Parts: sequence; C-alpha cells; structure tokens
Amino acid sequence: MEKTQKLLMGNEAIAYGALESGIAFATGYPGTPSTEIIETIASLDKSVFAEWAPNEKVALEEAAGVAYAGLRTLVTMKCVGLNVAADPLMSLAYSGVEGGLVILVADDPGPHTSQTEQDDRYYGKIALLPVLEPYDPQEAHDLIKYAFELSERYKVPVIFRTTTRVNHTTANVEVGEFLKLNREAKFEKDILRYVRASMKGNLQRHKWLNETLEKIREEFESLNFNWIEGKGKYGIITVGAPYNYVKEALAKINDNFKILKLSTPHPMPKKLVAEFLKSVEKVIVVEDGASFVEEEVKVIAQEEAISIPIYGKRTKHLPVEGELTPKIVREALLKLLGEEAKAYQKPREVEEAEKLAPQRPPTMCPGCPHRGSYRALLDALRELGYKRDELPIHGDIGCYALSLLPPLEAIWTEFVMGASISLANGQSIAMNKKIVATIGDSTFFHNGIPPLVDAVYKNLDVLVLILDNRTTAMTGHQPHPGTGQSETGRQFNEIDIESVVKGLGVKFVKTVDPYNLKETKEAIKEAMQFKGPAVIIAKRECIIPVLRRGEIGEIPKVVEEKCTGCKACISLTGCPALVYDTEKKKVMIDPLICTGCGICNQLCPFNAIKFPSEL
Amino acid sequence: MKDYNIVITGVGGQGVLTASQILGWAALRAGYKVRVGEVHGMSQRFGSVIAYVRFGEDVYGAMVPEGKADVIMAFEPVEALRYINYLKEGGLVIANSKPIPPVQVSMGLAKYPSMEEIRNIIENEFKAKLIAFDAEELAIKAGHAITTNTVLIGALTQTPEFPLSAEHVKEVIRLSVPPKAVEVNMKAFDLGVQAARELLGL
Repeated sequence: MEKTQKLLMGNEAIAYGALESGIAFATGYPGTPSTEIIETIASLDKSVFAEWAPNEKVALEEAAGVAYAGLRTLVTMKCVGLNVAADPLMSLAYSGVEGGLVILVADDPGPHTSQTEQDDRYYGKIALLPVLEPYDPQEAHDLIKYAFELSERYKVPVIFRTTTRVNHTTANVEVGEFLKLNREAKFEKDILRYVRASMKGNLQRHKWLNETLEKIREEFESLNFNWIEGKGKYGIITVGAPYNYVKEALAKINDNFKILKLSTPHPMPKKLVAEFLKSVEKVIVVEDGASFVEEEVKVIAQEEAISIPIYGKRTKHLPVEGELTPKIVREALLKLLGEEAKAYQKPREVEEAEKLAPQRPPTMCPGCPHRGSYRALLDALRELGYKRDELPIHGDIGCYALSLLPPLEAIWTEFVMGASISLANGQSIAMNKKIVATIGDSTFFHNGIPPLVDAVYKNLDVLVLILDNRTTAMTGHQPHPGTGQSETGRQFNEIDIESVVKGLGVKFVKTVDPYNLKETKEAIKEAMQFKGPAVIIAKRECIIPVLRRGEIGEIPKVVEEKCTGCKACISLTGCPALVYDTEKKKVMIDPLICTGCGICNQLCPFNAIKFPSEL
Repeated sequence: MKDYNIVITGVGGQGVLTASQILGWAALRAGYKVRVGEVHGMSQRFGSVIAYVRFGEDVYGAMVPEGKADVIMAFEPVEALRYINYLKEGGLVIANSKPIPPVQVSMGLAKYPSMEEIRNIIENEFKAKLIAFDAEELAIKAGHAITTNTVLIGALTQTPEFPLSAEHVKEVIRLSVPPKAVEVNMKAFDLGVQAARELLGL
C-alpha cells in the first residue's frame, strides 16, 4: 500500500485513520479539542455521511443505528460530551455492534477549554468497554485503525480517549489510502440482544460483555501498541501524551529506567503489567488525567502479591490537577532516582516581566452581536429599577460566556449545555420572581428545548434570551439545525427557532436585532413585565463569517471636537476596536479591527461617533 | 541537530497559528522530525495566544520546556514579555513593536508598559537579544496588514543559528498561501528579511 508523509494535526491524523478504516458515517457535537476530526472527514471525503448531531446523545444513538446495520462509524465529542451520551453508552455496550463503532472522547487536562478535567477512561470501567489511548498523532492514526478492527472483531463499541496535547499537536504522519467497504446496511432482528426490556436478555448480555472484555484483555497482552523499552532497575509505566515527556527527560538523565508504554488503559493487560512489575525495584505511573492506570496497576500488584513501591498521582509524586508537562515529569523522575531535582526557581527577571505584562483574557470580538444583547439586557434591567447584580442572569456554554468579563460582567452562572433555562426555572420557583436565562442557538438545540417545555408546562416566570448568531461560533462555526446547513453540502432543512418556541406554547415571543440597542432593550423590558415564560430571539449572524465573506460596510470615526474623552463607549462595550489616546485624551477607533456594527455610536452621550455617510 | 525550539506568541486573530503551521511545514520539507503545538478554541477572541514549533532528533512532545526556546517570535510586544520564561539563556526575541492594548488598559483597569520598559526587561534584566520593529507597518507597505506574520517569519530566517534557509521558507510560504496572495506575501517576507538584517547589522 502506498504511504505518504504529511504534516497533520492529531485530529486530522485521526480523520485519515478513520477514512482508511472504511467508515460510512461520522457524527458528534462540536467541542474543543475534538472538533476538527469531523470537519476533516467532511472535507476529505464527501461520500461519508459526516455531519453534526444536535447533541452527543443523539449522535451516539444514530451511530448505534448505523453500526447495528453493519457499517463502520465514528462518533466524536469532548470529555463532557460523554456525560450527555452516557445513557446510550451503557445499553449500547450490552447490545454490542455489528459494524465497527469507535467513540472518540477528547479529554482536556489543563484544562484549556473545558468545564471539568474529568477522566473519561472511567466510563470504560462503568460500561465494561475497551479504552484505547494514543501518545502522538502518528499513533493516533494507527491506533484508531486498530480500534475499528477490535470493535468489529469483538462486536463491542470502543472508547478512544485522547487529550488536548494529542488532538492539537501537529507532526509528521504517515498515512495510507482510504478504504471503501461498500457494505450493504442490514439489520437483523434479535430480541435478546437489542430489546433491553428483556431481563433475561440483559443478564445474558452482561455475562457476554464480561467474557468479551476478558478476551480483549488477553489480546492486549501481546498487542504491538504496548511495549517495553530500556533496561534500568526503575520502572516507568506510561500512557498517552506524557510518554513524550518521559522520552525527553530520559534523553538527558541516565539509563536507570525501563519503560512500559501502554495504549490500552482498559482492560489492563494483567500478565504484561505483572511481569514488568516483577522486573523492577520500584515503579512510577505517568499519565494525564486522574490516577486511572495507577489504580489498575495497584490492583494487579495486589492480586499478584507484588510488593514493590508504586508511585504516581495517588502518592503525590505527580499532581492530580492540571496537565503534566516535560518539567513536572523530569522532576518526578529525578526524585525517584533520589536526586534532588534542581527545582526550577523562577528567575527574578521573569517575575518582573510577568508583573509588567497586563492580562489579556479573550474577549468578545469587535462586531459581536452578543455585546449588543447583553448591553441591552443590562440597560433594560436598570431602567426597570433593578440595581446592578440584583437579578440573577444565567449564562450557558458558548462565546457569550465572555460576558462575564468587565465591563459587562453580566452572567452569574455557566453550568452545562441548556442549563441556563433549567436554572432560571428552578430559581423562579424558589424565589417567586422573573429570572433571566441567556442561551445560544446551537446550545438551545442541544439541550435547551426540554427545560423550555417545562417552563411552559408549569407556567414558570422566566425570560429566555436566545442569542441566535446563526452558527456554533465558539468551536469554529459549525452548522446546526437552526442554520439548515450541512458540513458536506447535503440538502438539509432549516428549523426556525421562533416557530419552535411558539409551537411549545410560549405566549410572549419577539425576534429583535441585537445591533439595534433600543429595539432590543424595549423588547426585554416588555418581556420582563409579562407574567409567565417569555422568549426573545436576538438574531444577528456572528461577525467572523461576515468578515470572511468581506461583507463589512462603513467604519465609523470619532469626531474629535465632540469627543470629551469620557470613555463611556469603552466602559459600556469593552470593544477592542476602541482605543484611548492618552496624549490627545480622546477615543480613537482602530479601523483595522472595527467592523462597523454601530453599537458604540448608539451609546456615546455626546454623539461623537459617526459613520462617514452621516458627516 | 538535537532540537530547535520556537515559541510564537501574539493576540488571537493575528495569525499565530498560521505562522506555526508554515514553520512546521518548512521544517518537515527540510526533512526534520517536527512537532507543532497549539491550543484552539479561544484563539480568535483577542486573547493571548501561544504556539510552539520544534524540530530535530530529540523532539517528542509539542510543548517547549520552560527555558529551552531558542527564539520567541512575538506578534505584539507585551506578549513577548508574558512568555519570556520559555526563552533559553542568551536567546533571541523577535517582536512586532506595534502594541495592541488589552481592553482592560483602555478601560483604565491596567497599565500598558512603554517600549523602553519592555526592552529593559528583555535586554538588561534577561540578557537576551531583542529585535523589535513595526512589522504591521511593513505588512501594510507590502500590501496588507494580514501579512504581518510573513514579515516576522522573514525576519526570523535572518537570525543566527536559525536552521532553515530564507529561500526554503519563502518557497513554503509561496506554496501555502492562496495564489492571489502570493505577491503581497513575497514582498512582506523580503521586507522582514531587510528589517532584520538592518537591526542585526548584517
């Protein structure tokens, strides 16, 4: 087979591996650091049905439907996505699959872009499913091909666990040719296997699953993705990205170490681990996430009566929180050698430099419609007589969570997908007053509809502000049901949010343009005075796709004679395009980043910001 | 070569990730084992961004260890300061001198340091070499501000110890940008080369 070397990101390498495995279907919900996998598949091979699902639960269930019918399928999600898909995961393990099904979960130790640092390998233990974990893009590419074979051979779904440092590392990767299986989809009726209402079937399948897991354990004992290297008297058991840090540290330390590199956290190859433990005086387990492998190793040591010291996160040789780094791993290995690691002392000059550098958190882009929505919301509440921070405003998952930063400081919570509405429901019951929820369009389709159903059903006094920016912006602009667009160019249907909301029975529904502050503010004031569930849809496309299409209109200017330097525009919007000139003591608009949204124009108390056409 | 480590820093939207991909590709085409590391997700939203480019025999993970970067290429002066802990002793900083004040500074909640203060830390306190010039101005001169990253990459190729030739890197840029953007990028690259040569006294 022809092989070519490419420079690929881990996620791209995984996409190549999946296409070389002959997948027919790929789905998931966007979530950093997993998103580029589906996007890459969609861009490389339009014949594969690679499309986003409204949420991870639906994605996994659809994938199960495809895999029951014998086709190979891939589902991708970020760590917290598997919480949403956990319900189908458990029962899917019992039914098993016919076509290979791989569930890719991208954990995010650090965390870099996630709510939690949860270690999804534990789902393998709960669901009784195999878990594979690669250490770099090349291994990710090779290992996912094995994952499809494994899944199909044992007829079980396989959990493929990655971490941010694998997903988002770019490296030389050797890839092969795409595989077309051209299988005919065929589903055979089998009640005991597929109907979970059968208790007899459930007991039988549980037994089958446990037996299957033992067979897989046996296969992992001699798998070429697990190996031993080096021949020192101290052992290192490592899995995933930290293997890289071990290799880098050992290139500079000495050869006292012997490594057991594993790609199969679950089920753990018992004999391989036991033999390794017997061959060393002490061992350290180096892994990203929780102490999953360390615990498994300790269980094996206990069962095999091996009493050497086993170090890791549980023994505080490595930190439990955050991700491992080359420095942390190096220091832990030195400590094991009894050498006091020359603990890195932050030089004074580095501290000086850090003190001098002002913080730069991410912020809403110039032209972001969410800026208008939250500004109007805060102003509406003030005009209704609420004091600042008197009324809870619930946030949700998306770019609009950036409204927590100054100067808006709007949201009080950001919890899980769709929960802004449920939290508002609960607090409206608890506090007997109107509570505000703010939620994005993609998030609304993900899990926002059921709590809105409940608000209507129980006639709860909530205002739901749906921030409809016509895309899943945070993860890089994926389509969703409200856009009607497809990742691969297929013909899909657009689902109109206003019709959905009205269909649920919400009596107060208004659609506004968040660039129009007055209109948005007045609609919010009216909705706040309405008793019962009210919905406002602030509809305006995310500025980034608009910029990419080059559809920027006029850019306003500050009329210097009128500007008093009061900085109201900056302190009301926090727009990065507004810069205060300390010499002139006036505000200037950076024409390179301003998009002409016109929000600051509406807020200047001196009418000093004008579009050229107004002058 | 055991390893060569570049840390690229800047503000989301400036093209830090594109620059890291171009340098990674250039290293790959020169036959090196390459690792490029970046964190996506929030990088477009005017926040602080960091990417790593590493190549050579002893390179495994994508993260440059602290104190091991041969060079820091900063798209914005303060972003050079923020990540100076990555620089090795006697390392080099190439910085775009055009500041982008964070919103907190415009709001009066934080202070932006002067270029003299930044230079003092890097050169006198940290004993590193600093090459700073207005790369955005040169990019605009070349035809578009968006080529600021190409200007900086051009400058990088002139630094002593940089393992890839300027011609090789320039060719990779030619091949990786859309056809209509080739000319402006070639011009931007040359302006960066020229600026660095003047500042380095070559």
